[in-house]
Amino acid sequence: MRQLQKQLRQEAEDAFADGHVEVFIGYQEGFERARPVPVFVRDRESVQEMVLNEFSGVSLSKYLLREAERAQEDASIGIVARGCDGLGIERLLYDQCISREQLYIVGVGCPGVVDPEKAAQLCGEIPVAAEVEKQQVVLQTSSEELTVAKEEVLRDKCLKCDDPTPRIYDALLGEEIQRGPVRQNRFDGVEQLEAVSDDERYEFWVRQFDRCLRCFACRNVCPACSCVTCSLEEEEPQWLKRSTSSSEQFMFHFTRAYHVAGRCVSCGACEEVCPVGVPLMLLNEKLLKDVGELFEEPSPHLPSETEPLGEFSYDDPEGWRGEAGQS
Amino acid sequence: MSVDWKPKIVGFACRWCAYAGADLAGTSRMKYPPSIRLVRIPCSCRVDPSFVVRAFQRGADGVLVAGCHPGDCHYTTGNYLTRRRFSLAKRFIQYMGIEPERFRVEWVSAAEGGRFAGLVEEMTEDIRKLGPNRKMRERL
Repeated sequence: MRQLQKQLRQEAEDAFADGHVEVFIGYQEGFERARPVPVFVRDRESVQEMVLNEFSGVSLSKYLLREAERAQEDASIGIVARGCDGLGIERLLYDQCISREQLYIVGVGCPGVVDPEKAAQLCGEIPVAAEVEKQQVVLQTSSEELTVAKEEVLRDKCLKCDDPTPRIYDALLGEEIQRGPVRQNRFDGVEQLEAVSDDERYEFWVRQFDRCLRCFACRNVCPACSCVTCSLEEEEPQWLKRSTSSSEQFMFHFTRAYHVAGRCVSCGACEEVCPVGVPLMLLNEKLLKDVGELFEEPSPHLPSETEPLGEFSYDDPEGWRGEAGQS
Repeated sequence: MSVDWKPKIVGFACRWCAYAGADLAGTSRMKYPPSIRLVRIPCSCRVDPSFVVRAFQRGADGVLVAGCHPGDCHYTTGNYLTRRRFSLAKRFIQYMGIEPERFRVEWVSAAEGGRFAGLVEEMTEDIRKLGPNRKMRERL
């Protein structure tokens, strides 16, 4: 990754030197080494602030919306994209929120991002550096070095990732990584929850949603959530009240998840930014699973020209019958 | 459960078929439980899945979405979209914990008064067995 960071800075510097890039979206050092934060580099001198390491994985794609709004007409926006952000960018492109000519995408063949919380638990302190190798991860703290299995320390979403390398890019750092999921069944969690009774499932969601602070971070980071007027903010009719009662939490989470049904790219950004750990991907994955099953989409998370809920076929199944408890 | 509780069902009925079907059940003097409150809508695809959540929030014990049989839509393709949306929404609402008997999607034509009456009877009975719905419910 050290090498890639150097390459990235070079790419960014060249882009600024060419003069067509107005801003470059990437990562910079955060309060802790293991928590890099987004940065918007606007001149050549600041390129050296950019970092790229095993921890820099916060989703960046949604920032493109705001930057595109601000950018001069003929200027382009640079962005670092791992596989997940690549899908997010595709989503925004298909939704016609931004245009491809406007973007300068520096792709990263991503070996997976280290979860600082998991790493801290293993090391007893937050590590200062990490190296993701083929089967394992080497964590470095202020005093020691620790080698652990990937499953123990990578972010959950990285363990299920099918798309480590972005499908579109203008430059690629490192090599393209072709990799299936580390953990085979991505719908494990959904299936476990489906197996319990309706009452237990309801109680489960009440407990999860009770924590929700309604900060809207999940919606704001989501590359599929790009409506100019959001139904969750409208006051007439007011679909969502400001109260955080259990009832309103269900309305919020139902609507947020359903409105990205068939459009979710499974980047996991919503769950990652949630400050209180609501398992939002359990909602999104249920919809992904059903879209896959009902409408025969082999990879329902990959963006394409058409959307599963924007089209139909004459012999679609009636998904509410059979197991769904209706004759 | 209070002694005099009776199931409350909110029914969204397409004006071209299910609503006319309900009308036929009435004019044919068929008997069915007075548990359903019909909301007339222009097409079953007018029903946003959020309507269903809202109905449960506001005290419905059951929700029925009824539209034209596939192929019979007054607007040609509306109910095909309904079918896709509610195939997902029905499973999703159940995934959030609502019993499947409480929320149904059915096709009812303008000629199927008997079917409409039977449907309401069946749903009312199913929901009576489950008891009042407390899930997603607003506290008043």
